[in-house]
Amino acid sequence: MSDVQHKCPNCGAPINFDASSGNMKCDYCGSLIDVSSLSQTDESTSAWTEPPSTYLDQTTGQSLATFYCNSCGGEIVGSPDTVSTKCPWCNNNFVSTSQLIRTRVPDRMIPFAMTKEQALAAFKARMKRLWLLPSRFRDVKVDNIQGMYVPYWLYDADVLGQATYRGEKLRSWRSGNRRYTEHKIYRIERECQVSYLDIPVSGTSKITAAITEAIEPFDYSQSTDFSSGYLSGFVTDKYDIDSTDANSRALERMCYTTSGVMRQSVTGYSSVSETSCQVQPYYGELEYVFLPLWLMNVPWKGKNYNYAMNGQTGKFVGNFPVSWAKLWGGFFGIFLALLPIMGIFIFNYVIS
Amino acid sequence: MAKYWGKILAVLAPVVLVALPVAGLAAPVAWASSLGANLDTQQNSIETGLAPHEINVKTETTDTDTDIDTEDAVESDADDDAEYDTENDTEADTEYNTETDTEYDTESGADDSVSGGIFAMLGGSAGIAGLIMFLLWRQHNTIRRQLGAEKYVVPGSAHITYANQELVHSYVTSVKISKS
Repeated sequence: MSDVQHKCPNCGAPINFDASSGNMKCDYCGSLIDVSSLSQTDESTSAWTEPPSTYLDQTTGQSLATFYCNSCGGEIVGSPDTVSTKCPWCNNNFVSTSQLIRTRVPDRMIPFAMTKEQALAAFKARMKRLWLLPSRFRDVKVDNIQGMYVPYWLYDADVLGQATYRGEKLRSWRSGNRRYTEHKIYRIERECQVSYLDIPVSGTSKITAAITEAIEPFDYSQSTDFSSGYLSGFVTDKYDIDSTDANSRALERMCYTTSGVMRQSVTGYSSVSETSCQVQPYYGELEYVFLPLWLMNVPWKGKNYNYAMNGQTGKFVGNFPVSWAKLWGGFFGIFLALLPIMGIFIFNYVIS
Repeated sequence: MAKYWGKILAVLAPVVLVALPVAGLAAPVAWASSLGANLDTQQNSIETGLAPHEINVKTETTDTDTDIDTEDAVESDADDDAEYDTENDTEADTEYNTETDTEYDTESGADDSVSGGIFAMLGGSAGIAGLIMFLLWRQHNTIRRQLGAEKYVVPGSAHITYANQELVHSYVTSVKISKS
């Protein structure tokens, strides 16, 4: 029995018996788990259920090519006849290719619905709305727009939440020359159940998590089974973040929303503070999917600016440079324009 | 050298853009307090019929009563059997004796008012300008991580399965209202 290692239902870390509390304790997140519920917990909540993996060469006999970038170490996967000259991560040329032996097939994927021209148009439209953009950046030539299927893990789970709060109600009245205030302190308990479907977590470390989350959401109702035909003209990336490494992010987001659901139900108090909150996920299915992204990389004054567009919905995100001359010029322009207005207001209406 | 200026500006800009709206909000408050002192002087002048510089204010005693009556009548909204019986009576009398001789200077009061107004004018303008530029600057970066997973909640699946509230403590405070 000693070789059985139980795992924390909240974070997946190993748990051990804590003699002082008489419960199993997670040293990582501090959760206390009732020993009697352990066998039941381990069966239903220990891990997500992942369908058996299939590989492209097993199902179709096809193989894909891997392209390596000697500059940043990035690698992408595409059909052997893919014509791609530049790395979407660092904008350098790919220098070596090799045959990929085992290509894992995603359980499903969302095909591109937005074209390269639409991605470029979105980039230009966004630039028009930015007043502080350097004027020369508007003329920048974007020649490296790459459509990419990014590997994501999708997590399903039913989450039970339990929280306690301290709430205070105030009632105030006046009697004679005294003002009375009644303070009522409440202990508030809430439990809730929330079901989540298809929370995406990026399976690649090549694109920052901020970008892969910023272009959300995707419409999964339009997802289809994998077909190698969808890859033509686009590249993809092998996952380098395992599903077990990615699940902490999915849990983090579930916990945030679940605690928010409970907190929103506590109303009618003058002030509320949370005293405890526990979240228990009951794991559902885990899927490996390809989601479409348009990636752009614009070099400007020695720095690479990355942009991404959701290849399905067209949501565009990115970080544009700022013209310091425009920033400070605008600031002092507004400052000087406001001075007489503020002066008239303060000296004519407030002081007098 | 140009690239160093770029880095310096990149560090300074967020600091300045955050600090200026704060200064802009603080400036009117500081000005209002200086204006308040000036108005007190003018009020005293009106009541006594003396010129403000002739007023010799003497505050004999300021008596402040602060009673905190604590009546712990613990009720339970829930059907719990728990019953609390606590009674706390706290009474605090605080007496302040303050004797102050203050001579007011009309000229310095007027100067305070003008300088406070100028300070508020500068701070308010800088604050509004900083806020506008901060909002424009923020639009340049739309890459932000998601906080939660609201978009992935199955419609109709979020239920509060248990809700309870229990009154654990109650008390009453009272404060004497000063006649002014």
